[in-house]
Amino acid sequence: MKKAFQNRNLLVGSILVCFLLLVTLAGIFYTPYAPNAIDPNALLEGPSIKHWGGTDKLGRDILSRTMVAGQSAFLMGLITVSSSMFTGVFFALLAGYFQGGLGNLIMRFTDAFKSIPSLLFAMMVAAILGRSFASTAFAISMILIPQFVRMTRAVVIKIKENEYIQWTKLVGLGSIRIMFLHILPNVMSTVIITASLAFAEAVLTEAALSYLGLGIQPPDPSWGQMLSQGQSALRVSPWGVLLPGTMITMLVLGFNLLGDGLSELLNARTAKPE
Amino acid sequence: MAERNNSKMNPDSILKVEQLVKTYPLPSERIFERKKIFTAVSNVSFEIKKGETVGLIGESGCGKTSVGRIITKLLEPDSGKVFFEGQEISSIKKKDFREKRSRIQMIFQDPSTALNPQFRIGRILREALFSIGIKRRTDQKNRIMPLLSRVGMSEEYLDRYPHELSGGQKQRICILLALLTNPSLIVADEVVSALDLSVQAQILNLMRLLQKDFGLSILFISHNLNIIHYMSDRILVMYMGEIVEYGPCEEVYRKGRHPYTMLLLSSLLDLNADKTSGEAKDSSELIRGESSCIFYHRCPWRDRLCLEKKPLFAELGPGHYAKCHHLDIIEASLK
Amino acid sequence: MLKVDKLNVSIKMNKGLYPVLEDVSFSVARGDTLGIVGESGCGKSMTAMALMGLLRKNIKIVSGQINFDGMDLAAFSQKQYEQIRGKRLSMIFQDSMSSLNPLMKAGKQIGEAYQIHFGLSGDALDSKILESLNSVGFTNPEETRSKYPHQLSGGQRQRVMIAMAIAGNPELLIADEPTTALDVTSQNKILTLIKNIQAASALAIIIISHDITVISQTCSHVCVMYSGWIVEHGKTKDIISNPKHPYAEALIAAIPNAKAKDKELGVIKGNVPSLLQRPKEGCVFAERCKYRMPECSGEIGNFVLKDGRTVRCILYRHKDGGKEQ
Repeated sequence: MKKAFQNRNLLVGSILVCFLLLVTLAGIFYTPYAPNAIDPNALLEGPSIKHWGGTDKLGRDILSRTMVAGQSAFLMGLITVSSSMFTGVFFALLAGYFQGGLGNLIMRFTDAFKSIPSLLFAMMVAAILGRSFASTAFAISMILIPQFVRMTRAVVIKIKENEYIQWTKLVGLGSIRIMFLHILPNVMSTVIITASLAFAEAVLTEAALSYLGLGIQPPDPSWGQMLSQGQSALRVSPWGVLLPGTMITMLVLGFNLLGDGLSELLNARTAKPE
Repeated sequence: MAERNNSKMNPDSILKVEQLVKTYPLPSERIFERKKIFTAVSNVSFEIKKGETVGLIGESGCGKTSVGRIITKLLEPDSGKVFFEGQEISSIKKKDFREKRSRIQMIFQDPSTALNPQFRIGRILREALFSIGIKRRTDQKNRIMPLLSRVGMSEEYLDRYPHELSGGQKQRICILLALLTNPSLIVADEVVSALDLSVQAQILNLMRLLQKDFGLSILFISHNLNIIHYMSDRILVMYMGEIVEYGPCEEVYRKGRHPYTMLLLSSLLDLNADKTSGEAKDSSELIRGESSCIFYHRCPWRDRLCLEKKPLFAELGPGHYAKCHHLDIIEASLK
Repeated sequence: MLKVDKLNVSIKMNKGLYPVLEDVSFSVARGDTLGIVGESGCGKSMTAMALMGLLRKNIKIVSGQINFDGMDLAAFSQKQYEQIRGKRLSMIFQDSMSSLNPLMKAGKQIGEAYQIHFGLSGDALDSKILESLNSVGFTNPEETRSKYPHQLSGGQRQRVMIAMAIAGNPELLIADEPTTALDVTSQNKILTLIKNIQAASALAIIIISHDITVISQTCSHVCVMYSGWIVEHGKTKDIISNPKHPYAEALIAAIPNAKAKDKELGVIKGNVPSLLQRPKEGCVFAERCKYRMPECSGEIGNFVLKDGRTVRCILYRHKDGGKEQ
């Protein structure tokens, strides 16, 4: 525990993430204004006591919208990361444990999938399944799977060579038991680190998609969409992009730092047991 | 089928290995080069009797670890047969082997990687019992407790993680782990080479004691001749995939006559005796004809015959054999 | 030539200061070979690092002197060390693979040493490289010089390292576990080589090893270390045939002996204490010692016996002509 506080990346990362989480959670119970309420008397205003973050071109309160948009960002991250994590790790265990036939098949498939540009893929999904939260979530999950497979598989292969896994084969434990009971706990640290980095990527991708008009659909707010709207009025009112932009930056930075910090902490623990 | 196999095996021997061969493809240096093959184990045959400790000695890369892994079925041989307790086990399917599997156990070299770092000791031990179908907690406990004191550990260690134990303690747990399934044969691969001298002695004593009490047969693999001599009833000397000499412990230790055995012995006893030329080259580098003696390049007694004809085992004494053309000359030169 | 006197080294950890070497004293004369033997964590490598001025930042020499040819190395700055390290003081390490540059041919690495020390270049350098490869036992130096480290066997790499270490004509060579990574047969070659080099150039050598047989084959004198103490220091012959300190005695009894196959090996109960568990007062070995007595928890000094060896054990207060130093 003491070590966790000495680890600066971990500390700053978790403070950032906690702060954002707090802001978004607060948005569930209280926002200064209704996020979609239009005020024709206050178009493109700068920050003021009435509107801390200013207003957009329809006179909606940017702070309120940013807070609500955070909810969908976190929700999107949570859903996509957890679904891609489960699928990715499952295939990684298979691919790492059964090197050769099945493993090669999984890896070639992963490689092939990885070669499709992710935004292009998301657009394709949106074109087929329609523009909705669900189709965006599906697309992002698919995009995240390969990195879980690759990162985890590499560790599985390393762990598999350890004598304690050789031993499980020696005494004749079943493959499923070896994979999920003996190998999985040893790759969890890698999975957690990957998940933290993937979370940042998920939010960023969602913002990019919304920016292009493919993600969450108006009038519901999302950071990417607010950025694209604010951009069109950037000359008149630069305030529109400030809050959502800062939020994206802080969140991506926060999760990246968290991932780095965790990897320092967890790897140090496995490398030096004392 | 089983009957016929039975007749092949000496009734008082527990393991018989016949003509084992294991090769690995070497990574080719150029793209279109033909794949080179490295022979790790070449025509290895030996027997282990019930309650006997057989020492397998050789330098790193000589194939001794591969032999251990083939016997424990962690590795498939290219050809050759392994008979264990009257049954051929090298070719049978995994399912049919399940019953016999728990009767062969292995102790690994490095106790710090032989225990799953995420599990407490108790959990690791219970997994071993799970593997032989003992699934009730109380049954598991009844099995573990008496053995725990036999290897000099106490109950409190069951709740610890491997990294909380010292190297010697971990190796004791590994020994306990091997004993849990009630084996008749244990393959011990370099079990003390990762340990400090004072701890090494504890483990060797313990293994000798347990071997006597449980009537175990042990294949003791090591690169250290002193330790092999201390532990074994018989010694097999392995060089580059082949067994070059074998016989009763004292015979080989005092009267080893294969030039390689003599080299090992001389490095043990007298530093200044520099009888041999050349040192071990990378195994991949050695060009040797299929039909020449395996030790040709380093042998001080080599001649044309050694290059042209592979030596066969010649008897030196009761149960003592060496693979060399020039045993008479060597014997004479010692007098 | 080298005289280490009451050297104390401590490590800073978790804001505490933990001793790793306590009152370590020994000396090596020109042409002498001293062995330092002990189990892992006994401080033998730390001693070497202290002599070479290679201690990590959080490890400090607290007191004591390292007298090398009239200079006190313990008070040397890194700058001063650079003047003598590699030249008058040299060292070879256990792991030859990671100590050699994997992307540089063997000949070039040796050549670099000669460039630095003697400013040689061109033909003079070339012939020097071949000569030095020859001197460490390569029969075909032309071929060896153009090989990369991974193309050499462990023993050959170790010989390249030795060639580099002696390039500067050092007066003192420290070999830290020089043969541990090698097979028995190549181990012999390396030890013989070290002996031959010494005979030819009369340099002082310190060999550090966990393997008492390596020490017995090469060293005239030996220090047995345990948990930061030199527990016994004397002639190798004497100590191996008749160890005095209880730890040395137990250590030697633990070696499998060809003559006593049926006897149990001697065993030291318990484990080597870690830095944090190390007793702060009294004898460091007391807890595992079979001769333990109440006096062991007091101050333990060095006792010089009448045959010249030093034993750090209270048993020798009055025994064997023991005189406190």
